[in-house]
Amino acid sequence: MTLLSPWFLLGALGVGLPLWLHLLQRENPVRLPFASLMFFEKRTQSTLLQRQFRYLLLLAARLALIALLVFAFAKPIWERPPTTVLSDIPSLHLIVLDTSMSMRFGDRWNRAVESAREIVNGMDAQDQGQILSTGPSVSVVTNPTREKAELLAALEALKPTSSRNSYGDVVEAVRSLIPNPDTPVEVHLISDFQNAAMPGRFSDVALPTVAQLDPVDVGSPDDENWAIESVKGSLRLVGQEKPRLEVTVAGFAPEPAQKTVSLEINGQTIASKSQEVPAMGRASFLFEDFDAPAGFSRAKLTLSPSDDLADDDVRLVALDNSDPDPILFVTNDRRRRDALYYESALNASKAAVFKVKTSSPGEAERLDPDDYALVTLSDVAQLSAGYEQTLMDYVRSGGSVLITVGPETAARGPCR
Amino acid sequence: MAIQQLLDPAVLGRLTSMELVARTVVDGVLTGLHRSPFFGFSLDFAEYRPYVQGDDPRFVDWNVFSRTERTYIKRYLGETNTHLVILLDTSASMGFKGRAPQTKLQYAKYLASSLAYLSTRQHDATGLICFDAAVNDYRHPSTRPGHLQSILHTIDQAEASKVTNLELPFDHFRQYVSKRGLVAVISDFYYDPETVVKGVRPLAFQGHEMMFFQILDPAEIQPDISEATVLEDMETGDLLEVSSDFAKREYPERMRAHMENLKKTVQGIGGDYVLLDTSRPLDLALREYLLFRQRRR
Repeated sequence: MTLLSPWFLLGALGVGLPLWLHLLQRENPVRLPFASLMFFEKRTQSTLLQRQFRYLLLLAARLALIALLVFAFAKPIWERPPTTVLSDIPSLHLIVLDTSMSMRFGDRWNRAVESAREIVNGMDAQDQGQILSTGPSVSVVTNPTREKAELLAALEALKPTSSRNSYGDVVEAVRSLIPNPDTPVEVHLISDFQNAAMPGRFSDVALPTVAQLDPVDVGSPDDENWAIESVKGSLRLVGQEKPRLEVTVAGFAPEPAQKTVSLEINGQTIASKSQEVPAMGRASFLFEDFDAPAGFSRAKLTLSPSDDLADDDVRLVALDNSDPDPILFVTNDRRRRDALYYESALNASKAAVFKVKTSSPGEAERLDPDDYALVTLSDVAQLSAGYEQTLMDYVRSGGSVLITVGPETAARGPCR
Repeated sequence: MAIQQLLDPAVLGRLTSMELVARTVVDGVLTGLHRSPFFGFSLDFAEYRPYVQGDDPRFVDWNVFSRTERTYIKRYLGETNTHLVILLDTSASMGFKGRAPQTKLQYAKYLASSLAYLSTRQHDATGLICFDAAVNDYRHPSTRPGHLQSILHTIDQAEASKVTNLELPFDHFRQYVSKRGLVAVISDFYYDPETVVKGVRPLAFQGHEMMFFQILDPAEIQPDISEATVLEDMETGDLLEVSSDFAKREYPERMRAHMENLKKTVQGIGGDYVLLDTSRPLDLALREYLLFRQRRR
């Protein structure tokens, strides 16, 4: 048994208070002086003894209450005796392999696989093994099996992914995979133990008592890495607007380093910026005053010189320098108030640019819906049969129609 | 302040001088009497006093009436040929204080002082024996000037301690007082009545007139014990756990039987028995004394 808050045991000194009160009471029994006891007789059954017994019971109850309170505040934890070491009970070895992107760093992945192999080869004949991978979510790679060859083959098939890891998810998966409370389980967690994988609450990584954790750290505290952490700026360009990209480079190294970020658009290098990235800090690289071709462009940001984890040295973004998307807004409102609200709502978005053309149903019949990215019918109760067919053909060919209902459509009845 | 109020023990307790207490009590008692016990038939003229209704017409001085046509009573100093010895119990039990405003000993001291003062004013020789387990102080009966102050001082200095032994003071009395007189025993008499009488009987045979003042607190007659309590004997220090039921029912009966037994035993040897409740004024005791003295004259 261990105590999480042993300092609370100092509260046990509080038992001195009832003890002192009890002793105080014992030292001052209620005695009434009387002139003479000549005519008194001793009581046959002493209530004094009964009272003393009652006081002792009361004292014991008070002491027990305080002791229990103090003990409860000290947060005791009872540990079950280890049962997994018993050789006659077969164990389940859960081999959890971290497949997050950081495992691509250097030879971490190779070392992780090698460690897993050693665990598999070290299993007793009656023990079972099961392999889990952690990225992007915890996946069961194999079922529990005694076949080491099957486990080794599954290891060979695993590759690190581009996702991140979460130890909370790992523990949750382990809890669900424990077959019964009597089966000893050894959890071999093979990881580089990134801080970012820790959950918000410490209790989320508490394993069940039947499971024993065997952490295998394949990371190295001396590993250095630099990464493009984020790219911000105007990716959707409108009219003559110039693109502007702000690139944040994070350095995970004990010493500052000179780094260069290059910008390529559609395979052509546009600009390069160099500056020092501080130790365990961040630096911003700003790209502006360059022209983006019309339409969509593929922008590639590359950090150089490269390090052992090349995947986070490159970031791809898309630049959209196309014309605003035309939208046909069909309405019966002559004052066009709903069109005004609709256009204002669309323009509130920074991610896309739209150009709204407003027309009545009669005018709309003379327009080709294929010229528009979207046709919106705003509370239009009735269309001509020919235009209805035109819109249906437009939708079938990949066009989009948004129909909103209102008082007019409601008065007409259910939509067909 | 009314005279009766002056006789209240609570009021007397505020007086610092024992002589002042005695004088206050005695004067208060005498003021209420119709007939002064001081004046009697003797050759020593005392004073003239206007006749008031109720006076004996035999004492009217007719010579004065014939000259002045006013009726005057001629008064003489009373004669005395006796003495009073006060036996004051100062045992530890006399230090008990229950519901009364003062201890039993304090009340007994007021009584003893008043008796001594009254006796001295009647020109009786007054003596004192203070006792508990032994005789602590003894003042031989005397009428000489200053003797009263000596007795009052001795009474004032008395303190409650030790256990009671009633046989010793009576033995002492027999050894040193041979002349017949009045004997006032002031005690709570937590003693076997037969043993008391055994010590007193030789005195009665010698012709002494005995008065027994039993001083008790109201709480001793009817104790206030509402639950099982440990009582401590003030004389022996013994502890006894008693029940409230016994204290409410059985004890008062036993106490009453003891008082009755004491009274009968005392009356059996020709003595007087007076029970004094310490919450009540002292006039009862003094009146009893005066009546007792008048009967013995």
